[in-house]
Amino acid sequence: MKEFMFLVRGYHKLTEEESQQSMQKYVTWMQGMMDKGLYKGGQPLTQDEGRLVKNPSEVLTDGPFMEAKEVIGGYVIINANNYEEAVEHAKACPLLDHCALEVRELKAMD
Amino acid sequence: MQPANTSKVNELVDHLFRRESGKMVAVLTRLFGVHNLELAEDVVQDTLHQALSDWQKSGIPNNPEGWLMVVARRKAINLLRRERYTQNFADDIDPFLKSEWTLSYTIDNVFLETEIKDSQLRMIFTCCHPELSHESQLALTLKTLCGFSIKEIANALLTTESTINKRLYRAKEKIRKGDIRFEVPLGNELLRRLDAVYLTIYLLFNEGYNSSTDDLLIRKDLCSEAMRLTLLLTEKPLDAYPKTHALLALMCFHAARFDSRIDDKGCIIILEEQDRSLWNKELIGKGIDYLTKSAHGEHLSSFHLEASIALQHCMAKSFKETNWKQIYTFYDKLYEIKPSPVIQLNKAIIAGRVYGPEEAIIELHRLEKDKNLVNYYLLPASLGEFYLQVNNKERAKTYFEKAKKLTQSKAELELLERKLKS
Repeated sequence: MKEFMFLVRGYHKLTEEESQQSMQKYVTWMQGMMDKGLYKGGQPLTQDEGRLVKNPSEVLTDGPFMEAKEVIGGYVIINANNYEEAVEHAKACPLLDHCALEVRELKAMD
Repeated sequence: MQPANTSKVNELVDHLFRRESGKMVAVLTRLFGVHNLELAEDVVQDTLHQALSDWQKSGIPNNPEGWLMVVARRKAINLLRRERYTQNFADDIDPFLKSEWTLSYTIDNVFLETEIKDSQLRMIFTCCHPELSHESQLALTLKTLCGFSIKEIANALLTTESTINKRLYRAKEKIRKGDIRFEVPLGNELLRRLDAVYLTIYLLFNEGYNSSTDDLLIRKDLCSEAMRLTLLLTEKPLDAYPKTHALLALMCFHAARFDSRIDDKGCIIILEEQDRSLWNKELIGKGIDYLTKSAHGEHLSSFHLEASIALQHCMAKSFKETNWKQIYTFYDKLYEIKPSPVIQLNKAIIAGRVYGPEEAIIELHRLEKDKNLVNYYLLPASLGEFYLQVNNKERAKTYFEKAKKLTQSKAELELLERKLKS
């Protein structure tokens, strides 16, 4: 079993009702992943600000550095055997309703 | 906001805190996991401290219960965030609490009114788990569900604070090790576990009703807490159990007579001499409602019979007009279900009312041979009483003296003293 990260790309301001609905869908999806022992963790990121530290003397404060549809809004880590499986899980993830998911394998360092 | 007033704040806080702390501990334990029971208690303590200092400064808020829950909730969120990389919380919701995607949503759900009740039910079954000794169950119930301090528990259970601390430590050790789950059991298991809960609540009530603690306030609190916990058991999803209603009826009938049993000086007034107009009619009425509700199903429990006996007393216009025959039949049935020497003793006493004191004296002497009753003060006290009735003052005196050696309760001693003088 390998670990994969969904990088949540894109940002969409939700209404109260939308956010309640998507929360319920997300909780259901997450519960399903937990029941299969595949859920590892995840956190959202703030959208309004960011810093890019290029080197000790160069820090960019203009955030969030990319076009809105590209911004990383958070991450989720899951278990899967390979990219195919990981992508299938991503397809079922309700975060997809409002964002794109970049699926990347976490590297096990030698 | 009302103006701050230290003594008023303290008074309100005493009562409110006792009631609300059990609720908050249950909810926070639902979040943190039962292995973190102490953490939940710490957060609740912290909340109560803050309430006390804030309210003294700026007055009691309009909705103090709501205030406490809001503050407890905030403190819980802070703790969950602080500890999420080092601690495990409640098994089934741990990942939801550790991700900011789902944290508030999950907490909101746990703080819903129905979920608060569910958490309290889970806590009842945890505190009354058969893996724990009866003594530990009582101490733990009083501490976590009823918000009693260690000192109050020691007072209520007539023991020392260090003994209570030891009992609580042992109980919490068992819980930490994971032997006891924070849940309402299902199916057949539920029936077995409900019996354990009934027993603990029943003991709690009896501690308040009969115990020898001189502190009348504590005793009343024990009774009302026992009733409050039973009331929780009558709500969904557990509302279908007739035995719960029978227990509640029993407690209503006894509680209705609470005030008439003790005079201003804390002395016992025996049933025969009680002012029946002081009996709480509202509680008797409630008891009758519960007893009616309990009358379904095939199982006649000891609570049903004890409640029926208590009701006979409540309905009798005077001691003389009591339907002793009916009571005697109930005791007969009770003895079939629960063949205990104490019930036999009660039966003998009632036999004295139905068939005359001579009959009681014969029965009671027979019971003197029972090893279980050797140190039970009520046996010689009853013998003394019936010897008085047949005018054998000498023997009566012997037995009252004997009874005096077997009780430490001031009120009981005082009663025997009065009998000795009569």
